[in-house]
Amino acid sequence: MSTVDIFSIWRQRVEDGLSSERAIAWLFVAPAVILLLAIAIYPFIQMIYDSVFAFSSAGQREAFVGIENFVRVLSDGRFTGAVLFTIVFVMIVVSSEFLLGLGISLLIYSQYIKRRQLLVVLSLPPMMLSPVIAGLTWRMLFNVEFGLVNHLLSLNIDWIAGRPWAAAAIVITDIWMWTPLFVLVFASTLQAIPEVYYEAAEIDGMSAWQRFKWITFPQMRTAIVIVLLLRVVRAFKVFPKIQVMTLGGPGSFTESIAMITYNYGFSFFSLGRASAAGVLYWFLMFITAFIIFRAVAEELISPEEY
Amino acid sequence: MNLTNTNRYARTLVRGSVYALVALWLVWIWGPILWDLFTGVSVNPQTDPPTLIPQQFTLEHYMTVVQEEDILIYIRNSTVVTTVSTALSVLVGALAAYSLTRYDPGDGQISFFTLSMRFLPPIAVAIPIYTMFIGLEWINTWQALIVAYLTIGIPISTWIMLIFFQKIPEELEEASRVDGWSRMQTWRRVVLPLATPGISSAAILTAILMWNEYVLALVLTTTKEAQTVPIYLAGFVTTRGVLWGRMGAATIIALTPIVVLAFIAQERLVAGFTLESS
Repeated sequence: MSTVDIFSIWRQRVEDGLSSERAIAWLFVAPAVILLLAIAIYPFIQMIYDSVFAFSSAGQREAFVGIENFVRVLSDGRFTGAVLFTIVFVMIVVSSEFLLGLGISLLIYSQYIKRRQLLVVLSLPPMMLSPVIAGLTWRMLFNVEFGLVNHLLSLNIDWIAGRPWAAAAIVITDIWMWTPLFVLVFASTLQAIPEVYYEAAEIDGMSAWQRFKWITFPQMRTAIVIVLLLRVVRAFKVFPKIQVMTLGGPGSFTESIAMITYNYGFSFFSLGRASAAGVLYWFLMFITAFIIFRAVAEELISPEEY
Repeated sequence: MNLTNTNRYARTLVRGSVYALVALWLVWIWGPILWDLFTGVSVNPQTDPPTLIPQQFTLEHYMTVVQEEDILIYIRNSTVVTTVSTALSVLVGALAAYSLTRYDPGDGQISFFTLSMRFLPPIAVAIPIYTMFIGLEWINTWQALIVAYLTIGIPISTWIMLIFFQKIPEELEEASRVDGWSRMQTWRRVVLPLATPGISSAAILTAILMWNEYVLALVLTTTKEAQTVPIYLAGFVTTRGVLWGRMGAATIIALTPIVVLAFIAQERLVAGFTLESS
């Protein structure tokens, strides 16, 4: 047992380690992980740090202020109003899109329709558009004088500047934009349900409702859970659509959390308060996602491939 | 006899209402897009009562948008930023997704980490990145947007490819290794051809997301040297009043690349959206 042997064994081990699958595996994930740490996690930690400082309007840190930014943000009626608006917005749009999407996909997959794939594809355009385009388009349609909506429904509502109506206009635009996602996901799930199940149900003499309740719905469960989670997270980020439709108005009635956070930083030029609002915003999203995850954890761990 | 007749009537009625509802759905989806199309070519789009199909057609608004409002500069910026950032995201994402499906280093922690990035609200990313880029003097540059967009692009492309790669049977790779092919040969001849549909789905979806991105571009760019198409479009509300004709023309120009892309790669796009939400 000379030292040379030990050295060569050691070198062999290092070489084995480097050429092993595991090293390559780490090498492959490294760029993604390092980039995300540098451009998402590092700035995020920076934001938490910034939230306890006061900033000059030029964006320089001026003084340590402790939790003052948080106190000011949380006691600001505009911020709490935005939180409330966003939560109500998320609940209304996601549940409407879910129900409408489910209904449409069931219609498309009913026995009367032949060209299903084409119909699904024709349903997609709104979700591929920029929210800015969707907002501008519906802003024209909702125009009080020249808009098509008032004309078709013989109404005379000020959808953009009226009090409950501005919120309704934004909700309708969001539903227009995102129901297609539900249609798409549900359609691809419905397509995957084996025809045999329905044939068996027919023999058993099940009604349409029973077939939906005992075959269709259970088969769709996982897809429903995942698409709901995805939509809730996305709907919480609502901002550009509102920016071009109502600019948060009338007053600050339709301001969302993302919007007020932006305004703290770039309309009031207070990066400290913006950072505090950003931390609270992220915290709220995290809590919501956590609650949903907890509620559906079993669903997601199910052995079924999703 | 009577019963079968009633049944037939009922069936016709149901069939009729299914058709009517589906037609209504298509009108609801396509109506607003047709509105943009017709508004952009109408001499006077603001009429009372409003008409969908204009009385007089013109290409004037398209000319104005291109010649006076420099939409081509914004399109150039959007194209550069979208292309480079999508390419980087898909490259980095493909490596990560392949490694995660085949070896899963970190036992699921990495995929959870990547996925959890999608929970970060863009504005909560934009504000700290803004302070970071002030220091680098990167505000209002392409590279600022390219780098910032990776926070969106890497998580989504990794996720789509992760789901896709899981469906490629590992046995094929093992078989070719047994046949004596090197790792590189196996990748080039077996893995890559099988993975290409997943990679292109990821690329298409990432590109659409970046082409449409608004919040990061709003914070990180200030002039048309670097501003993207959505920022230009949003300007119709705040700075130029509501010029419907130009707005219609500009929206149609902005959505054309996506429509073309969607048309060429329809199947990949649908697969991408399905994978993304699975």
